[in-house]
Amino acid sequence: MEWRLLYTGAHPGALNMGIDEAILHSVASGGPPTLRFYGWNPHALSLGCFQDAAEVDLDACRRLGVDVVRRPTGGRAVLHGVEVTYSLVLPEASGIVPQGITESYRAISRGLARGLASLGLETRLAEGRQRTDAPGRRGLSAACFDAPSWYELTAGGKKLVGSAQVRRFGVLLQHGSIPLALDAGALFACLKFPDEAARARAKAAFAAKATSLWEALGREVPFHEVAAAVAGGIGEELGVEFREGALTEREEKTAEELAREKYARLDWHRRSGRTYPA
Amino acid sequence: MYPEELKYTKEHEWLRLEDGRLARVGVTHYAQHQLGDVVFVELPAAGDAVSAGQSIAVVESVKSVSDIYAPVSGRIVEVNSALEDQPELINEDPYGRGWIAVIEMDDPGQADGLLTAAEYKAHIGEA
Repeated sequence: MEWRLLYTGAHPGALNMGIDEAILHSVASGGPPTLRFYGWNPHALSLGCFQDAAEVDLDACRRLGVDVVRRPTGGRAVLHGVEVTYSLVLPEASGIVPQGITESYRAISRGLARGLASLGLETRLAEGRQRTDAPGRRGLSAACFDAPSWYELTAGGKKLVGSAQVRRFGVLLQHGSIPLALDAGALFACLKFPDEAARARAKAAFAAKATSLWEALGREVPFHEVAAAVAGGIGEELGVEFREGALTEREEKTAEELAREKYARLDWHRRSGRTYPA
Repeated sequence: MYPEELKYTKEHEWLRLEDGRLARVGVTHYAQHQLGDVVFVELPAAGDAVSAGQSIAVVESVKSVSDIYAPVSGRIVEVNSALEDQPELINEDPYGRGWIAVIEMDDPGQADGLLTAAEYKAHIGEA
């Protein structure tokens, strides 16, 4: 089984989300399952699909030169800075990754863990907690790396990799962040808090609970080495070969349209989030 | 877990035939369990025309954002707006208070082609 491997470089938030979604459309119409690695230029804060944008200090983001974009996936805010971002897009009925949500996270996480192990880092799979105190989303922190999320990889007891999924048109898209270095100061400067003491508390809690790859490894491994290791781990775990390729012309065009017409707007989810440009 | 009187789809929706051409739809116990805690539901609007297989709602859970598909073609005549404030009803009572929408079917015969409870259980490996 041969899947496509893409290195698309670093782009603004809207184009990055446009590319992920363009790949989803392409897989929905029979294109090859695709593993993509990318970065963010400028750095960007991404919000969950239905997250309230009022949690974000948009003025502060502008001052800091941080892009703000809404992801097609769920979860909370993530600051994408010095990191390796991956996305894996494949049919739900691939026969390779289990169809169940939990089981699919577990299979992909095992691949990520295998890749990181090849760099010399032992990680553990942590299953996100179910909230028992529901109702709705009250009380959850705005920051993803500080709140319960689903399968995540931890290193030394701290959260390292967070991932999120969307399932549309029979296609599964999972993307996630592997931070190489963390900037908790910038993350918490981008979010709104009732006062500075609350901001300081949130930041301290985050620093105690989250780590980065370079911190966990104790050395600086470059982007491409990390991406290649992760691709190797996912390939071995799922039993697939990756062949490096490029976006098709159609995918590029769709990605640019989606970036311009959809992801450039933080309120895209409010205007019929289910319709897409062709 | 899978009431006998309902019809099911492979995409984990259920359908209950009501008066005349009306069908109430929601997601199955299996689906709500897979999703985990549902935190947000984007509902269709009453009056929307839908075709079978088309996405009519989006459910965000702690684990995933997932499309919910129309099991039959027709027109949305009612939506469960209680889900806006209490999305957890999908977890707590998937066949009751967690219903999603009522569709007026173009052709009531469409429901005949859906899965029975036994067929659905076989599909999810619980037969």
